[in-house]
Amino acid sequence: MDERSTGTDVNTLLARPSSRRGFLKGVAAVSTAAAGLGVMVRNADAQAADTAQDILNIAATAEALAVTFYSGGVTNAGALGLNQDEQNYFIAAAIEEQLHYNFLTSNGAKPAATTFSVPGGPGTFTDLAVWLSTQQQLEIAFVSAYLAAVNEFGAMNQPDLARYAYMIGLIEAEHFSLGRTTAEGHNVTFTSTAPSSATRPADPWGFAPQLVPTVGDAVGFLQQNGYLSPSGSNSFSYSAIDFTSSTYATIYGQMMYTTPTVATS
Amino acid sequence: MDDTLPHNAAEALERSLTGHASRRGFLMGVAAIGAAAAGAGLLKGSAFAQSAADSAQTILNVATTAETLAVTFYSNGVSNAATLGITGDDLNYLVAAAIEEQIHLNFLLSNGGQAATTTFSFPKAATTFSDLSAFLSTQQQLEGVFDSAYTAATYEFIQLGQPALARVATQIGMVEDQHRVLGRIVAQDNNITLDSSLAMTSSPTPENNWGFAPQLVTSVGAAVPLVQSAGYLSPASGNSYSYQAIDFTSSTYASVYSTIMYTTPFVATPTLATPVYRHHNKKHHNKKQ
Repeated sequence: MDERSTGTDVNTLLARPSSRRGFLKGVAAVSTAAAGLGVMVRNADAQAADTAQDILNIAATAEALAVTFYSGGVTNAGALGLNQDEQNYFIAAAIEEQLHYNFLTSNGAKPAATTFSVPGGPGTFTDLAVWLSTQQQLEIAFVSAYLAAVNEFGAMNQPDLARYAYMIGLIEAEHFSLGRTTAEGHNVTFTSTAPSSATRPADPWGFAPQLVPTVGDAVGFLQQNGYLSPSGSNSFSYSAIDFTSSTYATIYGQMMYTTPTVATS
Repeated sequence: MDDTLPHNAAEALERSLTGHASRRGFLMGVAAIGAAAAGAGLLKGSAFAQSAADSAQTILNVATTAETLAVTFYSNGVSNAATLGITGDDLNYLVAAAIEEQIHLNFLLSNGGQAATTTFSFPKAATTFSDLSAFLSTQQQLEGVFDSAYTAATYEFIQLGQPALARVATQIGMVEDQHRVLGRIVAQDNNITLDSSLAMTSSPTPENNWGFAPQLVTSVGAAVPLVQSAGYLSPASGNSYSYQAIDFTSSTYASVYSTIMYTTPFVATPTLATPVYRHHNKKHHNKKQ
């Protein structure tokens, strides 16, 4: 691990080579069978492009953004037209993102930003199609970043950290499906912000995709798509969720595994 | 936060899989592994890292067996959807899940995975496919085990120096967890109370009820006796279901299959110049096995 880089602001993170390189420049199907290698051949190209501290900082930034996004949705659930079951999905999602943020920051992660913008501006939180399309873009970015984190932590021989990334990444994948379910229920047509125009099925992936080459590339992705440029009315600051508040307490009481959990014997 | 929930839930899973708690030594304990709680930062290294409990081939074989079971379960669910009362978007979830399990199985088989068996039983026998609560409760149990096993696989593959395999395990595990949540949505849609002797909870609300996906088996290999004890590996007269590969071109599956993306493990690379995002989805949209 390299503890020299603490990368606690967006510009620092963007100055990193993997971010400068750009993001989503290319994709590859990594079926090793197709490459004639066999799945048990070690990945000779496995390298960690980011330091462990960078990855943790980027994850904390993403989770701060996620809390800000979901708590804004919960606050505006009436304007968005979410029914009670759908509100429960997103109340739970907000709680889960806060749990992730709390875990990361309590273990040394530092968010690079706590004030954010959204591509659709403040109208995002009153237009269901815009809000869900934004949710889809954010969640596929998070899924991709946590997949990259698994690989990079693996390259660092840090299986515990990779497992944390797995445990968080699965929850982000759940959120992706719940956004699509909500879109189905309202016959929403996603905007071009969403990664796919189709809303059906809610589970559309054979394998969850990694659409950023590295964790660091996710920062550039978020910036270029308008999440890291707060100004005027398009500025939303992170505020920690109070799990005991009337909005969150009931769902929080039903939440399981609020810390990473592993069977030991 | 209720820190007793994980432990109780782990015990519930163990009971659901074994019919009793802890006698067999599986899931005898769980630990919240927050490094902060242990007074060590996340970057202090891997205090838990040990040599892998399973070989890579064992992990692949267990995963192949699990995916064979999953295809068998979901394809029988699809065949009996009318009896189960599953329609519309709920049926699409189920059809997609069957396809995805087949995609996983095809990938594992093509890379050397070998199923230990291709004929299975279910804890609720034939009722599994005629009673929606039994079906969904079984689905919750299976997906909970799959999520846990792929968590263990991610960890063990890294111990084996195979980060790319760990990533593939995560790519599959994420899809399994989507299935888990969608099963809870179907339960909610149909006002189903889950059987907590199979599912870990009786309530499907909230559908996304985990802060962190738990690892409730100590290793990939430990999942096998659990599944066996739970009644999935003891086929007998009236409770015997043999694997049959799904035909993606059949009328039952073709339309949903055409909407499935990323039918092979997919990773962005910095070296190719292909424009991506919405475009690459389309590029792989119709990729056939």
